[in-house]
Amino acid sequence: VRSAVSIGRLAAKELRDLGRRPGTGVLVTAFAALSAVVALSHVPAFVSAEQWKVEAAADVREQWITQGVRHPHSAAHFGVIAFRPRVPAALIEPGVSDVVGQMLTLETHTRGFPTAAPYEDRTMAGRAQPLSTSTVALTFLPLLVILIGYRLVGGEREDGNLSLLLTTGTSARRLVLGKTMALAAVATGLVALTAVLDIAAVATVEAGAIDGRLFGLHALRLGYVLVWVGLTIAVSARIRSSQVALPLLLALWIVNSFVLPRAAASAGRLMAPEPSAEVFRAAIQRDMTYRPDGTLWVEDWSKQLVSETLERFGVQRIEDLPIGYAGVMLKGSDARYEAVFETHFTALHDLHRRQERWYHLLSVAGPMLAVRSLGQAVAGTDLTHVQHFSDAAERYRRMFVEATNHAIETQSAGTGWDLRVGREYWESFPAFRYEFPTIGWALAQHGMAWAVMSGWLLVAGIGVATSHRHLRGTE
Amino acid sequence: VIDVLRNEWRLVRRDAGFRILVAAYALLLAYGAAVGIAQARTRQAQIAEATADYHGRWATLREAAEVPGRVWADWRSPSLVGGSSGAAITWMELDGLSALSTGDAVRQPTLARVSIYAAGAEPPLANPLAIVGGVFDFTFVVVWLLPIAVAVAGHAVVSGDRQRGSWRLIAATTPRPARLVIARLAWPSVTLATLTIAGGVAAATLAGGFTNGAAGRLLIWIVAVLGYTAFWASVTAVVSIRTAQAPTSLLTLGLLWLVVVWLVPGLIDAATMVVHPPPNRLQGHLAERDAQRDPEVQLPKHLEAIYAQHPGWRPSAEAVAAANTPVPGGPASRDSRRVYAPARAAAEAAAPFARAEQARRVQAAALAERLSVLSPALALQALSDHAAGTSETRLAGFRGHVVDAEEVWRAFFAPRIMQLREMTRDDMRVVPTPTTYAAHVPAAALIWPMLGLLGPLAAAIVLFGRARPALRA
Repeated sequence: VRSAVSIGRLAAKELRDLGRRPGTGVLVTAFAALSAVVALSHVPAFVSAEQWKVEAAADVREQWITQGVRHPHSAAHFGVIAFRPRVPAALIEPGVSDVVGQMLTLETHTRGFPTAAPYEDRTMAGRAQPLSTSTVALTFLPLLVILIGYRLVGGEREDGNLSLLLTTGTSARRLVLGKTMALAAVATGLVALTAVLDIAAVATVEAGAIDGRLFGLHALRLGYVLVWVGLTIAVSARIRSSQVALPLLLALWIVNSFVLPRAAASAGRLMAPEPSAEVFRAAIQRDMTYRPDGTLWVEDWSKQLVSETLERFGVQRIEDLPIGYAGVMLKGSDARYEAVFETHFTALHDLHRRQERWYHLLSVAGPMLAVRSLGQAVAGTDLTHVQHFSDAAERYRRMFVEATNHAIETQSAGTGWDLRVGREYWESFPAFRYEFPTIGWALAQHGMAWAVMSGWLLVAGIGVATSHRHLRGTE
Repeated sequence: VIDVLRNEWRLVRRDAGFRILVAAYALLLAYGAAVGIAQARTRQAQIAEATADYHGRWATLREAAEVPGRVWADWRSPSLVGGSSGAAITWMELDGLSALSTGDAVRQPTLARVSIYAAGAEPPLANPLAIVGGVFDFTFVVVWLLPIAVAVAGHAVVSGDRQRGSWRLIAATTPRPARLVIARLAWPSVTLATLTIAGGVAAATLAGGFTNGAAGRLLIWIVAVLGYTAFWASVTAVVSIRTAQAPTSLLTLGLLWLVVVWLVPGLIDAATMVVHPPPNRLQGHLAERDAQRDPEVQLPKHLEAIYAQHPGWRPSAEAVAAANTPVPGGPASRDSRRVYAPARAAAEAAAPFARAEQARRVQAAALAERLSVLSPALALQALSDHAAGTSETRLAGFRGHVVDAEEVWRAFFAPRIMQLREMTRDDMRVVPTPTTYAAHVPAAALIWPMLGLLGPLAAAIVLFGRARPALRA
């Protein structure tokens, strides 16, 4: 207890000293101003983008219902457009939202990619990650911690105060822990400040949106900043000159904040390059049309299907069938097409997963990548969520394609091309609704990031716990 | 001067810290070059694959031409040959210099399909995770990390001695201390610039070499790299002269780096978005879908609209009847006008929105280039993109090229589709082949980025001149 009280007193004294330093106030004020500007400046665009999606979905639904009288297969070609929603926490951590299309056209015989990514509207000036609240916090909080703390332990030695301090009965361990607590308190205060700003921004978007996702984002942010507190103290205690400690910490910060995210992202593409859209589409087209041996698939299959169907119903001509033959044919061809889409899209998603593994592998070199991955999972803006949405949209696409084929088969006869349906039939289709997965599910997909983040916390903790040994020489 | 330079060279060679810095920078350059080379080679492989696929499809069509009466692979159908089966490809020519900067190629296609049904080229399939934070290419290393290397190597040229208390002696014993500062910064800067240029030339060579006109673009890039290095060396000198302690110099340079490399480009991006706000992408889709509503009511209108423009394209009644006779087990009709005309109507309904979107993108890109006068980092980025052939302007040119190629393609097939005329063997021989896109951005486009690089360099040199009296302080 006495030790804890002593550490607490030391921390309180450090906090007072830090508060008196003019630089601390300037840094904190500049950071708060930048965070506030960034947090609030994104609100109007976010609100209008989400509002646009709601209105656009209503427009598309209206078009679907009022598409007129037509053959169901023609309607399946007409299709619908699904819009990818975001939870309000995405305002704080936009993740990959900006580089992924906001809408996905769903129609028969084709599986598309989301289009209209906000990133496409940017110029070369916006190629680097745009300033989001999360980017500002994850980039500048460690910098503040470094600038406030790089001399915290080493400075005492450089100024000649360390020997004096250690002779007053304060142990090196208590001194280090006290200074760590002080820096951690400053860091926690800064994270709390960003939390207040973020909550204010999110509350502007949607009053009831203050939920576990926001809490999770800031808990992760705190863990990340504490890693930097530990690293700063550990370096400050170990490096004898602050002239060396500062460049070293700044180098770590630059590598972690600017170099690693790009290096890790590019590593994936370097090790597992993806095909171009043209090559990908051509491969799908080829597999939809030809067998692996290069022969046309549909010709023989069609002949066989006709004879089997005629035999099944005991008639000589397609026109005499009691069911709509077009429905049977489309069911068969779509089954093949869906299998082709499944093969190619699964391969593409697997490729993206392989690239993501490289990304996570390099995250061992700096905690930024791990905390970003986890934050994006919490905010529903990571690759996993993008694929979850794509899969949900694809299920909906298959549902309406199957439903239209089934209608052709069961509601018509003969060739099946004479069927016409109207508004009542279009209204019977439910509108596409996307259900977000739970945070637990999303976080469970990021085992590697958890491990890396925990590892960094452990490294920082060990760094602090062993720092006092480096002061003993002075003692 | 030579003695001073020789002495400084001896010191630099012995400096273990500088050696580590150069090694780290070289490693990062090598990684950036590897990414660029891999991308260039992947692109070449993709073009080869797409070309092989195109030739394969045409071989199948020619083969099918030898077997008459095939319902599903009828090469005589202009809709089939002009559509999925015979669609051509076109691409943007990129030489080895493309390894220097990924530029806009990360989000704009450089390879496209030309078909009667295509509506422009599709964006690349890059993993969102891989592009969200930017690409680690050679230009990233130069734009972002070269200034740090120069700052780390040179931030203490004066302030380091001031901090140690030795500057007064140096200033007192050196007749021209400014020359000493230049000599101290010259070797690190020259070493880093030489490494960059040599690495860039090697990367370009490994990525596929140089084509005609590459010499000029390479020269522009070299000048840009030299200018950028000189700018940061001058800024480092000014900051080191004006500050009393090495850590303060480093922090000041770090702050300047953040502003020039990150914040100003971010603000320029925000400004372009305000001046040229992003379009509502749904409008084109809604217009396209509106044209597809009530197909049976609208089809005659769509057909009539085309025939009104091209009266000579009307088919005979016999041809219409034959095309609309169902084939057992096949589609309801082989009258490809029923697909082509609504598809054209839909594409034409969406075209004004696509054109407006394209025009807005070109204007925003031009504005960003003009505003690059405010940030040497953005100016170098723009010049590197132009040198590599991956600038927004050039990619916009390629998109226009694809649209033109589609127009030529349609002009060949549309009359045959609308007249319900079958392709003949002679027709197959004269199907247009799209050319590749080789044009580069004219030199006039480089004026603003060049100003953005050379203007701040001149300003930094002037500031250095003004800071010289402080060397005696």
